[in-house]
Amino acid sequence: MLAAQAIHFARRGTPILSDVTVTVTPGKVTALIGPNGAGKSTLLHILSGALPPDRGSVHLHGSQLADLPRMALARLRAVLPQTTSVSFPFTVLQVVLMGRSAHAGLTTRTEDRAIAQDAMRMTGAEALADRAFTSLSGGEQQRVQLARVIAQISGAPSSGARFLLLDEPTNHLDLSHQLKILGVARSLARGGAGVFAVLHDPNLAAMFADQVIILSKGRIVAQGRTDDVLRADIIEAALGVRVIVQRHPAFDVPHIVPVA
Amino acid sequence: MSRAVLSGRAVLRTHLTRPRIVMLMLGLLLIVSVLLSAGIGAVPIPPRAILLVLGRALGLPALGDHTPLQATVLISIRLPRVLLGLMVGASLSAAGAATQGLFRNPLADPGLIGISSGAALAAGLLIVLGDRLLTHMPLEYRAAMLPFAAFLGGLVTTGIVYHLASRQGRTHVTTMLLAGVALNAGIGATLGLLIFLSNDQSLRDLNFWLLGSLSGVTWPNLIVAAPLLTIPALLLLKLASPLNGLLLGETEAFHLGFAVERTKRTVTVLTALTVGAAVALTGIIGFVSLVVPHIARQLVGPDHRVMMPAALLLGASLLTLADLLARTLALPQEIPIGILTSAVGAPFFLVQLLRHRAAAEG
Repeated sequence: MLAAQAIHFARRGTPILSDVTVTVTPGKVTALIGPNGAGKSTLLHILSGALPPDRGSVHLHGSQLADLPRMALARLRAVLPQTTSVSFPFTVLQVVLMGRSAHAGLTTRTEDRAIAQDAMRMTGAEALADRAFTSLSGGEQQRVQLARVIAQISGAPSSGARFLLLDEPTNHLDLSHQLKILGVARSLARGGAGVFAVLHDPNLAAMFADQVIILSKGRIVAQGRTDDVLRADIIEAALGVRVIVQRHPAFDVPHIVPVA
Repeated sequence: MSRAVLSGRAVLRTHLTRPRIVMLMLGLLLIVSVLLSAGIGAVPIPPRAILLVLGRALGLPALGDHTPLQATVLISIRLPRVLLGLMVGASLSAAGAATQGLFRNPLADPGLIGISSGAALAAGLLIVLGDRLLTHMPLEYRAAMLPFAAFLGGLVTTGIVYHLASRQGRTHVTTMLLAGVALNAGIGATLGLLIFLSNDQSLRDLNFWLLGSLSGVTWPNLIVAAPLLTIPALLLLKLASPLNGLLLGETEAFHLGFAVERTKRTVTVLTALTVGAAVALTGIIGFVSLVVPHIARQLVGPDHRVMMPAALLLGASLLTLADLLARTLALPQEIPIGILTSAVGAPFFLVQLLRHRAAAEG
């Protein structure tokens, strides 16, 4: 369980998050949606341990995040950023293997390589292994980074569920890559990982998430099962657009249509 | 042939064989450089004689002949100079590689954070003002103080740059670069003023120092400086993994489990120590710390775990060879080595840059 309790965070006196409590459950995809400037990325950074909250606490498997050794934390949770720039011409395999840094000395090189290969296969990046990361398209780069973060939380001696945090992972990607990235995230959750994804598009949240949290002006407006949260009145109040919520023609999930 | 086999071979090719072959070649280059620069000069010493003298010095029985003059020249003149060249080359190159990783920028150089200019300023103050203010102090005392002053000058300047860029336990590397640029400019102006104020002798001393030279090294100097040159340079190699992580970004490096702030601090301190010691003994030798990591990256790729040892070996060889040229090209004069490294390094770097750009534009 990865849980943030009564988080408050302000930047230069301006409150960014006020009294935010969220739980990321193993085996489920939890989506965080909300308008720009709602504090979504800040909340993700606090959940990842990169940003300490002003007040409140974050617990991972019962331990305070701040008390966990950095390397132990890195074996339990990984973060996929929106984009990653790599300054030097690393190969794709080298980038994915960097995900194994926290396992140095715990797994052998051969094991690391096998885990990296598996992760690349999951994200459809195995054919890119020897290419220079800098020569890839945005969609390919994101598949490689997803393989890197999967490799990071794979194959350690069991010490509880792993967590994957995704920070607007599908921005700038074409539709096929959006579905691919979130599909992989979903299958990781099916495998027992807790997935937390900051998303822009409520329809992507509807298709891939079990739980949805809506954040607006630093406060949680709604959270719960996807069907309960993605309702027209809640979305209109939080996102400030009029919408009609139908059923998705192919899946049994809500389908949100904006009406100006 | 299946794709799996193909990529398996490629893995073998890029990750095992090539770096090993390169390291082997660099090791051979190092041996050749040492034998050449220990052997060539007014008193020629063939490789066999070099090995015999060294064997003798290590207490092995004499297995052949060499002249006493060869032994004296090798032990008291050539050997300390060759060793200094090796250590300074290794130090500048390892520090350059680490600095470029720290700033995520292949154009970065330890000089950017004020190590060399701070050392130059301290040396300049001692040379020029010492001539006027420390007249009661014998000249050789002042000469002996010079390396210490330079070493401290480098440390203090780097400390100021680091401090300016740090707030609440976090260091902003871009601010560090900009603070370094500003401080370097201020120091440049001060050095200009010092040159304006200096008489003929101190101008000559100062210039000699600013252009770099390995001449005049003595065993006592070398023994004091050796640990400061080599230990931080070798410790930098141990930071290869966190430096790799930093190339993905500071937040990403933290997510991967690395101690980001500690890495930045350690890299800065170790770089200041080893480059400070190098500059203190030899003056400013340009372009080595910038160019050598570039060549190493082209030979073995950007992974710091392989690239830094390669840069260290290559830098040691290249600086030793450059010093050989510096003292033999214009006999009986010596060319300041900094002129040589910049004369070769600048066009080389430019060509690399243009080639890189051509490749990037397809």
